[in-house]
Order: sequence, then C-alpha cells, then structure tokens
Amino acid sequence: MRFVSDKRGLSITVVGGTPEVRDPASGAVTRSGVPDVEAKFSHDLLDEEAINIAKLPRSQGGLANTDRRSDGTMPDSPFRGQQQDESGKFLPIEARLAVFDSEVASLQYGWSAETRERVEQELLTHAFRGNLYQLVESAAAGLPWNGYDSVTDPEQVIYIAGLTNTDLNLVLSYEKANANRPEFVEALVKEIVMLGEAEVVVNA
Amino acid sequence: MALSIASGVQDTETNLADEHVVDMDPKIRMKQDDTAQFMTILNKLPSRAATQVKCNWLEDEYMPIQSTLASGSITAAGQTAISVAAGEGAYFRVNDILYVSDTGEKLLITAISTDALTVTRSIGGVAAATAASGGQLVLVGNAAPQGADTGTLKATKRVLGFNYSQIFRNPAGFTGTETEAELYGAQDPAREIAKKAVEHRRLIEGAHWVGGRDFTSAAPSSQGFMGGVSEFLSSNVFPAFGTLSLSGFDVKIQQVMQQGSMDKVIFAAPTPAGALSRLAANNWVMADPDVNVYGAKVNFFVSGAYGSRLPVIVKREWGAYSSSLFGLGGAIFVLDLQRLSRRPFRNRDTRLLPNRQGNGEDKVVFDYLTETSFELANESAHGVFWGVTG
Repeated sequence: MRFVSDKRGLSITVVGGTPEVRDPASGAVTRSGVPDVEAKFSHDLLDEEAINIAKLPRSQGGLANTDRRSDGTMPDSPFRGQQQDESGKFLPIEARLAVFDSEVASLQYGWSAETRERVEQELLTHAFRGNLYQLVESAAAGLPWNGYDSVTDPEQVIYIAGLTNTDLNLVLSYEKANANRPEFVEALVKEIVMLGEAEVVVNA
Repeated sequence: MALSIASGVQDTETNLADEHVVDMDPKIRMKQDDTAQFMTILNKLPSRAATQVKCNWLEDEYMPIQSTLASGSITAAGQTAISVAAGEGAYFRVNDILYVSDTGEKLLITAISTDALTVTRSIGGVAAATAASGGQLVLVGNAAPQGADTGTLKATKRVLGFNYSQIFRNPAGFTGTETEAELYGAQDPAREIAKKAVEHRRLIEGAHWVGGRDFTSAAPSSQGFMGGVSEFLSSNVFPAFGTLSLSGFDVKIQQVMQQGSMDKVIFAAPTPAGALSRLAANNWVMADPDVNVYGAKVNFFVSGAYGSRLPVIVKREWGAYSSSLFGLGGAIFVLDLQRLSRRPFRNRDTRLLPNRQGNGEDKVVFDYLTETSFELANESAHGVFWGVTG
C-alpha cells in the first residue's frame, strides 16, 4: 500500500503502546510487545502515479488546494508553502513530494505481516489522511481518476486533466458514455479543439 | 412627612448603601500574562520593510552531493550502467567520483543520460561489490583528465519564497461620557488601550505560527493572508509524535540541525515542554533564571548532536489548546532564527490610531493597526512536532 505526501520529510509514528520486556541478564524476550514504528515517507520512492494523485484537488482524493472556496474564489497557491521560480511561476511540486510504501518499509525494517497491516490500517484511518498524505490508488476501470463523477464544474475537469496529464479524449469518452452532462461535453470538446488534440464529432 | 428614626447603636448596615466609599483595589488582575515571546524575539531580529503586498525572498543551496541507487542494484560483476533517483542525474558531471555508502566502492562517471549513469567500477582499492537499490551515493570529488575541456557547466537555480502582508486591526470605543466617568484603576480609554496592545500582539503572533498564506483579489477590497511557520514546513514534519523519548527526539533534532544555522530555538507547549523537562533533568542543562534569547526567557537547554545547546521556550498559553492532531497544545517548533524575519509594510508597522470615531459622534474610538508579513527561508532548517502527548 502506498501513500503520497507533500511534506517531503513526513514521518508518522504508529504507536504500539505495549513495550517489549527482556530479561536484563540474558536479553531474551520475556514478554512480546507491540512496538512503536514509524512510517517514513521518502522522496526516492516517488513515481508518476503518486505525483498525479498528489496533484488532484483534495475533494478528488489528492493533496492540491485547488477546490473553489465557498465564496467562489480560488486559493492562491496549489500547495502549502510552494515556492516559485524567479519569474514568479510555481515550481513543480514534485520536489516536495514523498511516498511511503508499506511493502518497501516491511523489507527495509523487517516488519512482520501484523506490523505492516497495523501501519496500513493506521494510515488509512488516521485523521491526517487527506491533509498530510493521500492513498495512492489506481483509478477504477474506465474512470479518468477516482472521484471524477463528483466534479460539478467542467472547468475543474479540464484543470485537473491538465495537471495530471490525463488524455482529454479519454475523459470525453467516459463522460459521453456515462453522465453525458451537456456542459461537460461542450467544455471538453472546446478544449480539445483548442489544443488541437483531435477532430471531434460531437453528435456522431 | 415624618422622619425615619433609628434607635440604639448603628452598624454598617444602618447607613444608606450609597453613603459607603467602596473598598476597591485599584489594580485590575488580568487572567493571563503577555506571553507572545515569539514576537519579542522577532522584533529584535533584523527585519526589512515590505513595499508590496507580496513580499519575496530568494533561496539557494549548494549543488547537491547525494543521491540514491534508484532501480535494481549494482552487482559485484561488471555492471557499468546504474540509475539514480528521478531527477537527480542532473546533480552530476562526467568525471565525478561517487562513493557507494553501502560498500565503500568508488565509481567514476563516464556518461550521463538523464538519470542513467555509466560508470567505471572499483576506482581505488575497494573491489566492485553488490549494492542494493536505495543505497546512498555521495559525490566525493572529480578527476579531470589532463588537457580536458571544462565539461558540462552546472549551477543550482535560485528559488523564490513568498508571503503576503496581512492587515491586523484591534479597535475599541467608548462614549464621551464613559471616558470622563471616574473609575477604579486607570481611566478608559487608557486602560483599554493597554489591553488592546497585548491582544493585538497575541493575534499577530498566532498568525506567525499557523497562518495560511493566501490572497483574494477583489478590488477595491482585496485581502491578504500571511502564512505562518507551519505553512512553509515540509522537510521536518513529525505529526502524531506521541510520547517523547530521548533517542526518538534526538534523531529528529539531528535531522533539523542538519540544515541551516546552529542559532535555533525550541518553542514548546507546556505538555511537550514538561516531557522535555523530564528528559532535561537527567540529560540536559537547566538554564539560569536570567538567561534569555533576544529578550524571551529561556526555560532550559536541550543539547543534541553537533555540540549544540538549543534553548527551550515554553509557550504557556498553548497549554489551553488541544494537543491532538494539529493542536498547538501538543506542538514543538524548532526554528532557525537566522532564517526568519518580520516584514512589516513600510510605515504600517504597529500603530495606535486615535480618534477613529465619525465626525459628529460623541465617542472616542481608537484602533491598533499593523500590516505585516513574515519571511521563513530554507524550510528544511526548521521543524515541527505535532501531537506530543508527554
């Protein structure tokens, strides 16, 4: 199970709560415990899938602060503390992202299957999920991204597709085959034509 | 009408209530002290006036000298193609020498294609050996052949940190009559002016810790929001930290001390400070009663790696806050004072503006106004622990 964070050095303690007891003389374990373990995120484990999840708005299961506020305005920065280049353009967020992979951690730290499951469950249910990190999960079959169906603003669909390099033709096909919302179809066609990605026949 | 007559000895209750001069201590006791120590420190650090709503600063770093083996591994045999972590191939140049931390082997880079390096194995006395994916590579020099050209020229690019200025206001007002009514202690508005000064400072300090950087463009009422410390931190964020242990805390402190200057200060809520103090009793140094950092009293010192002594300042008011999740009641901030500064807007640093009442109004209204921003550079030189439970 993998999780992505925009806090590059994120480290979450998963509390075990029961210390192991050892015989002071022999060092042998006299009572097994449930030790605290750490879920350490690493920039080195970052890949395209994790990057694309991170770039999704929070409402879509990502980490980007790109949902409209209740007053209709957009937040100023997609990510907290994100820096810019000298011309004032936001730097790619990739440099601040990191991934925790429970499988890699199990191998690295010699975790038992129970420990690994405990860590995964903790990260899945922790209140920090959605704020400090998100689960990296592949989109369900056919969906442009998980949460696509809950987007209500066609502009946001185009925005997200641009951020995550999602093929607009695939988004259009999915939209037409499912909810087929006229304003979404129109906006997608307009964008595809503008980008010159394809010749689109709307009423084929 | 007949007079009311009292017979016998008269006691305190026989007189009219309004006849009594009230016994009132003129000193009014405030529930809290002024404990905005962060503002005390920031006000003594060098600052630079902001001249725009968006204030910027530049950050740079030396060329990185570390990377990791990305996919697969290098074998003991003659494998000469290795991959480094995504985007990190750019750190290196042909003829650089890499030190493989897991084996001690040295590699000479002979070609670079994005993150794929071609290397000559086993430079020096250490034989080619297997190193696993994830192993560290450290740049330990370069060796140019005689007569060679300069090779690829590389330099790190500066990046721009930025924040917005925020307008803080704390007004209060009184009727003209109230300002002349005789009161115990100081008269209004003087009394309220003194209180509002502390409240104003407290609010500004709050934004310096957890403010969110943002800007809403809505002329003519655009609104700026100043980001605080927690907005910028990414590299050293330790949430749900739980119980402090000496070894656990030392490891994290070492990570924070790795970057930036040694001029760091710890701000801790009472619960984490209590835990630190218990560790301090056995392992660290208690501060003398009059030791301070830029005017803020130091409670004790934490000593860690690098021979440093980190002053700890207890944020007493955070004791009233939640200690779960992002509650300040469980927070410890480690800040590099050399990389922080206030950015008060030019001619709009904290001022008491008197006579803000409307024309013709029989009132006295004043307003404390501060327009300021905050600069936190090199976020990896700072750190935060959340959810420290004891």
